[in-house]
Amino acid sequence: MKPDSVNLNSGRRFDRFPLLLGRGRIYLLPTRYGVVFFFALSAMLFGAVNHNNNFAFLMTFLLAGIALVGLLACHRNLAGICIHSVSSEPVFAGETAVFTISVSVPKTIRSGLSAVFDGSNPVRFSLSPGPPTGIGALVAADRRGLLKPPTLRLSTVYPFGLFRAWATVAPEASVPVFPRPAASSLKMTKRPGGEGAETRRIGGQAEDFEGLWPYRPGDPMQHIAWKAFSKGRGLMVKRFISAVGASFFIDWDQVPVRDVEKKLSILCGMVLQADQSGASYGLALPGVHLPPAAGPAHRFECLKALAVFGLGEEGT
Amino acid sequence: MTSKFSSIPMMLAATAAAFAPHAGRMPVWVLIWCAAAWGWGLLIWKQKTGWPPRWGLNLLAFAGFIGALASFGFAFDRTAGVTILSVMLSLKPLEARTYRDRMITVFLVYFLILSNLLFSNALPMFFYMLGSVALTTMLLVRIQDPEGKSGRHAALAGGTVLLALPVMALFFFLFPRIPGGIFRLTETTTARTGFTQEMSPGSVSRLVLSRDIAFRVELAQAQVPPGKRYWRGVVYSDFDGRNWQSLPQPPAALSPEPGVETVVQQIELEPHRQRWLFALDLPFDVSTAAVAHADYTFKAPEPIKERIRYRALSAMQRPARTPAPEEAARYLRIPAAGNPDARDLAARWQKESRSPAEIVERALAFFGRQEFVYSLTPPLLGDDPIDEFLFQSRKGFCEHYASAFAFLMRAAGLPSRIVGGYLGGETNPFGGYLIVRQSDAHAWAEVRLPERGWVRIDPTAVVAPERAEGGTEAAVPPEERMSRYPFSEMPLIGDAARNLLLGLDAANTFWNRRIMGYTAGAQRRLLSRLGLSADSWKEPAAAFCAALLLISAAGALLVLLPRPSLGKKPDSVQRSYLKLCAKLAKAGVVRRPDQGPCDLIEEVRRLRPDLALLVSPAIERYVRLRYGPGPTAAERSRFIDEVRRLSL
Repeated sequence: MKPDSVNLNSGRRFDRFPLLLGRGRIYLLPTRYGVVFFFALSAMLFGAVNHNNNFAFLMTFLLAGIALVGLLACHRNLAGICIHSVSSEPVFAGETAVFTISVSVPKTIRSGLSAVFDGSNPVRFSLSPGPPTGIGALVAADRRGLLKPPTLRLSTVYPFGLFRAWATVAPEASVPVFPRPAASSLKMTKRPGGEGAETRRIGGQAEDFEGLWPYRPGDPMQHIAWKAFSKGRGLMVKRFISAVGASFFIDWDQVPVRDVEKKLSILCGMVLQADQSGASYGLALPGVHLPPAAGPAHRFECLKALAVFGLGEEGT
Repeated sequence: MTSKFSSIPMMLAATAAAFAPHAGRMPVWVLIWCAAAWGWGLLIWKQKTGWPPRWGLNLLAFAGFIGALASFGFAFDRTAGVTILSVMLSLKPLEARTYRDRMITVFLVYFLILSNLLFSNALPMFFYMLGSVALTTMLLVRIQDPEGKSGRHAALAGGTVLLALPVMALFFFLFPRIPGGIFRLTETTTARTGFTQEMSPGSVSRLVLSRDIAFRVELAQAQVPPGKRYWRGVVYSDFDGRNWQSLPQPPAALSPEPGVETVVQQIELEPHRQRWLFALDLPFDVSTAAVAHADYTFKAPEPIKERIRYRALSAMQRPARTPAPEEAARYLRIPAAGNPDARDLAARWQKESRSPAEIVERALAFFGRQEFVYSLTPPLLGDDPIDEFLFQSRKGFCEHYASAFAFLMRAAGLPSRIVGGYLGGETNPFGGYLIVRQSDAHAWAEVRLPERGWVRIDPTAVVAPERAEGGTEAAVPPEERMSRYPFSEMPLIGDAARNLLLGLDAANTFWNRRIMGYTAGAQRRLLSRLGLSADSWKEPAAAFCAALLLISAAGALLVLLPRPSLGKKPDSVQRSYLKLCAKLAKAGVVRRPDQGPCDLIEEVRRLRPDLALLVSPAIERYVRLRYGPGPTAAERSRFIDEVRRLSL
């Protein structure tokens, strides 16, 4: 049999996806209502034995049978659920990461499911057979770094609330938590000794209009050609040609703040600002050098570099 | 917010269903109370008026509790208990704002349903309770899944109850029983019909109008032909000129003559509020507490107020036992005056006959010769009822014939008496037992002949020979016929109705005997039939544990057998693709569930343009494999290999 999980050097076991919730993973225990129910049945059985009352025997065993069927149904409600992935969009520190759990179920509807990361609020959902559905479960992202979600617990008390079936999943997903962006009045300047030709202000107007291009997610808002949109031509983006070498560096050394976290926050704000302007920018941190570029992928690289700065390999 | 309210209608329905069988037992104000509370619940649900304050409900509950106690004079019995439960439970849906409250409500509803077994253990009640439990289970499901479809909840609850039934049956039959009396409900039955201390002209024909069941009998029917099914109950020995009385008799030991054929019967006697026990003529032993009398009747120590079951042993031939002389005197006693014509007739027979047997023959011939009519509606008789009947009206029911015959015999010097009981019975083809009804009530005479002892003489058989085999219905004139079954005049429906009612009776009888009457002894017999020698408590206990194991094993199979799979189990290509997606996710490109492979390429270009060249050939190959024409095995393995080698 293939191992369901891989052992990382941290000692924590992670689950591989797609992960099928099978019998080896599902635990089952009575809820407190199940315990109450059990004691009520015991009392009834005692009464039936005491009075040798066959009708009472019948009804006691009927309810016992119902509870027993409920136990199996509870297990079956969880068994067969497939978890395809657990992932989240990057967030900024202080926000809440929404981990999307992609789950599917083969044949029957599953109701009354709940997903919860240890220490967070549970999300209730139900599943219909079909392609995977995304369930958003929240994890608070307090500090920058790589956020590894705690153990995910899928559980159900459906159909009767007398038993709870649950399975724990340790997703290997990690999501970068960028530093909380902070505003600064700093101007971005050409890095001394850099290869750039001139120093420019962010959001400068010194660009030449090239033409309209179809909008793609990630394009700066202020470049959307609203006039074109109002004419019904769809979302178009104005594209500008920057002057050759009109790039600059966002530089660690330029931020005159001592506190590392505060510094990172300011740098983060600068990256965002630069990205918004659509300019080409680079990032220079001690030990990190990202050459100037633009676009969402570059922005991601920069922010990620800020997120994990100084945190070592694990990034936490 | 809506989910808190959404279970209210189900809650009200389940509560009302649980309450309904109790409604007749409750004081009227409780009915109004419950209806008002449920109306309020509906209002909360429909108008979303919000929940009433807790303290208000607590106050109401307390008032209801005191009111219920007061209604029963502060005496706590089962009815008072159920009333208090109903009053409290009716308020519960009004505060079902938390999960805990809703769950408690469900448990209380279950409890109210089960409390019905304190009042009735009839088969229909069992089915009602099954339905009610299913409804409450549906409520339980709804509480777990407030937004779900009711149809699905109903199917689930119904299916669960159906699956629970075999478990119930297994537990029921195998759970070790302790020998001892079976719990019986002290049913407060309404006035039942049946034979009484006194028999007067018309008393049996009134009895015959009732369709009530007198008793049910299991017996080897081949042993007793229909015309011989005389069920003996009461012996009337004292005649006052109009009415016959059954007077207390000393107990006697009865035993059959050696070598006489005996018949065993299992009799289930309905309560008739008298002490007679009925059995096939001539009984000499019954298996219940009873006093045997010299006239072959049995009396229970107390009036029979609940259904009882006993085994009776009867002899098909009569013992040639001569009664003691003082006994004979008693059976000769008639009033000094009255009915002169009948006396004359008897005296003439006595004079002309050479033997007592000839007197009997003459009397029977008299009934056969004259134009006697068997009728349920004979005219009223005056001061000399026997004379009037014999010589004027000549129209009467069995008690008239038996009474006149016995009087004639006594007047002719032959000891005689009247026996009250039943004749015949209907075979229930579904249950293989006889149903004897009040409409089978009959009275016949017994005459003591010197050489033969007491002999059964049924003068009605001479007048209406059909009576013995076809029942009252066959014997009375057509215009007096009344059927035991509705619609009997319609050919097809009549048969259907008859079969339905007989089937129901068979089911009821099975329920009362085999289920409600399931005892430690019955369990032992069942187990020994299963091959377990159940002489001690150990065997039933072992069988019960085995059953538990069996159920657990069945449950485990249910869980284990259908291995959960991803719809159509993902084939190798699909698995590789999912692996690819997982790798991409780690690299920061998370495929949303709504994104197809082509979208995924776009996503990679957008988020990780650096990976686009690396990944897109593989994804494109996947698209070809999935949606292209006839993918080859080589291409499949190339894709799988490609994905395996891919490291992002």
